[in-house]
Amino acid sequence: MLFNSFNFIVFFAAITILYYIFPYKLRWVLLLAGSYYFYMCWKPEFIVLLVFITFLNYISARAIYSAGGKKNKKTILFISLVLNFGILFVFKYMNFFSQSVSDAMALLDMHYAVKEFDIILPMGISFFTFQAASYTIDVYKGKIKPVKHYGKFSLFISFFPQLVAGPIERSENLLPQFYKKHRFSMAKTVDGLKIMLWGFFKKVVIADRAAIAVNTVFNGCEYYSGLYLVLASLLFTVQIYCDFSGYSDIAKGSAKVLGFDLMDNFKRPFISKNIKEFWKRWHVSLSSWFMDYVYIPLGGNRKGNLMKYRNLLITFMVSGLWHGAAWTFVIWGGIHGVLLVVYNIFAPALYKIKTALGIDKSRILSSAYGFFAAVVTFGFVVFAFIFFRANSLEDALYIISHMLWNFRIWNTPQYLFDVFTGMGIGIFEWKILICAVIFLMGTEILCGEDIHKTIGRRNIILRLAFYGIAALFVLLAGVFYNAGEFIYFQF
Amino acid sequence: MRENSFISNFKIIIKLLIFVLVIGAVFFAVGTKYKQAAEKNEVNAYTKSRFDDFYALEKNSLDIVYVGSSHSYCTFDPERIESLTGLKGFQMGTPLQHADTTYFELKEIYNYQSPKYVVMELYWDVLDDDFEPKQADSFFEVLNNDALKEEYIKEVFPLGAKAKYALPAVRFQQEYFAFKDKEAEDEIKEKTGVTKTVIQKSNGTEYYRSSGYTYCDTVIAESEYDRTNQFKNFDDKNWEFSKVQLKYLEKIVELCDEKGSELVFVTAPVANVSMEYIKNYDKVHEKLSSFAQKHNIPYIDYNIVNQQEKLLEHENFRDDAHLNDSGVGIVDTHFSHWLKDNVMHE
Repeated sequence: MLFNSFNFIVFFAAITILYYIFPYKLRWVLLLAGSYYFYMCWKPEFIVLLVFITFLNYISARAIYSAGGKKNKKTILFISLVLNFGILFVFKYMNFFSQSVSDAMALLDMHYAVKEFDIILPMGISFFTFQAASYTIDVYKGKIKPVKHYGKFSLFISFFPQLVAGPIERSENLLPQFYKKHRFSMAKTVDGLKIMLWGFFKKVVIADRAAIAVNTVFNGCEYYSGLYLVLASLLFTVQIYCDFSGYSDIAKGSAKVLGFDLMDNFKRPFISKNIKEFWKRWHVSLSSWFMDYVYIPLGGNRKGNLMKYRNLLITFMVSGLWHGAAWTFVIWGGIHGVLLVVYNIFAPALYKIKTALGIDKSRILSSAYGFFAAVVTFGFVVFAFIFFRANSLEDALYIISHMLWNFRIWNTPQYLFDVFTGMGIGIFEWKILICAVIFLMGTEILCGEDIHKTIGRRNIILRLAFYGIAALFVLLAGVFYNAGEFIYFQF
Repeated sequence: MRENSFISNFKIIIKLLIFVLVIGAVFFAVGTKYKQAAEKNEVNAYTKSRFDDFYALEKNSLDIVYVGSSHSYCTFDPERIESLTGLKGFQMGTPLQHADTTYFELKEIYNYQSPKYVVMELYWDVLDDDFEPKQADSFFEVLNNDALKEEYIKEVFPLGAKAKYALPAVRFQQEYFAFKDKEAEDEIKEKTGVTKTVIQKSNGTEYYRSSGYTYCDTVIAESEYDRTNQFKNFDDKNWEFSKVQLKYLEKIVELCDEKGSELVFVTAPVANVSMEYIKNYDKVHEKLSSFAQKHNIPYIDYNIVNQQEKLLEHENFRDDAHLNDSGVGIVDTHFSHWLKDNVMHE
């Protein structure tokens, strides 16, 4: 069931009404049944996998807690993680792994036929596996005590707003909320609906419209060059941001209507002045997961600069692989790893230059530097996303090598006309898209991190105007036919 | 005032209601505007020409009609088949036509014609979909029968699609945007003198000819051999009829029976290279064959015939899934003989 479908609206309305009617003690049953139903709308048989992951981590955590001795605890954790990530490996990486081994053997002139496994990737498997595994690790580390209530633990793993595309919640944030008695609050409901509306605006007005142009160019990139490829790459960056942060907003908003607070997953990433800041603002729940459960266990920055750079590269390449079983994702992660290493090397020198030039002391210079740095960071992010979106490594290289073609004619009316009418969306829809992006970016720049809080402090006319514009954008200019799935569902 | 008091909740509800009413009023007003603009829009030229020609036909003048998806209008050239069988026919395929649409299209055909034979193209990739709004829309654009449209919506559309269809601002949005796109393009062309250049993606021509047939002499692009081939990773091991499409296939059988037409099933060939990608096609063929057998309907599958008799070459396809005119010539000749031998009894 997609968030941007009529079925979800009916489902969510029904769950919300029933939730507040149900006696407090039985609410978890309703939410769990609703969450399982939500997941089963996709492929009912995969519920077995969700239930198994839940069961595995429930008993592992309890066994770790009650086991005597660090060695025993470690053994149980090891078995649990092998099973968790083993399942993920089988469903997500088996074919990629066997193909890659075969390719490597072919380089050594040892050819053999690759057996392709007939496996469907279960929706959201990377999200709920990571959430479940982090709970078990946290119990092992003694950060939290294991939960006794199996039903509420199951709900923690399968809570429908964040089940298939996050945010990947930490147990200490979400689990206690299932023990709280949430009273109906009209103010909270309206706050939740506002967040959902903003999410729908990003998804159906911007992401789904940008997707048309992006798919047209990326799926037949050999027919395009120059500005087509530049625009498609820029648009994909906008698309993936609006798609994923739109999903996160709808998840956060719908959870809020039910009385739950989910973490912020995106914090205006495109105003980042460097790549390090970008990763503090982009997909926060995943980047903090990798920081806590991969980068720090690898040694983090505790063993000198060289080890730190190695750890950064490994973490980001694994993060790339988490996104998809293809070398393009690994390269995408690798590019970010390299950018972070380069930033770490040059950051002290950059700071010295800024100080010497007095950039931080002058408001104008500081703003100009901030703008310039944000543009450069955005440029790197766009570049890396080419690998993320391209259908193959060859396509990515083709796109990069043909991006500046015909540069001399980029400003001619005929070329511009050809580009803007040749990417699958017409001039009028370009106007809508550009207006929507300006509205989004303007709002994000002017309103700070918590848009809804800032708008909420303004007078009623401004509030009505803001949410009215967003609602009209959604209702009148949303892409409703052939609306796309959320990109992150496939991860 | 307490945050969750009755008065504060009441105030919020009133504000929310006002907001919803204002937005609702704008939504419906703009919907009317969308609808007006949509009415001025051009529809798919081939389908429009096909249906205009059909409605202009003399009543009860056809012996045979061809229905189905693009695979039907890219495979059956009624005039070519007529020259070999003597059966006067008409091609009524529409883009992506599913069995539900075929059923309603046949009902409309029977309002004007009493064909002896109905040739239905079975493209398996649309028979496992429960609902496809685009193909219903393209059928509605050319159908001159409002009562039938309403019946179709009532019986076939799922709840979400019904809701979208009932809201003019959603239903006519694409048409309105297309209209505004054209307006904007014309304005730019007039101001700057630019002209529309189309990126050459094909190496041939395509046009609506007559009797519902669309002529095309494009030859499959090399990229469709591999990179952009839509059948890559197709595995039909678990292929099943959608319950909805199966229901309408049964209804089509009943309708043809009731109207005294002999129903014939055909699966048009996809490109040779595509068949190499498709795994377990035999499962699809078995299921389609057993449905035909169960209802005693003659059935020929050109993917199987092509594999066995090597009828077609790469050059006979316009893309990875459809024949070009040279392929139509080969298949229609074969089909005409098959029809005479297996279906036409007098």
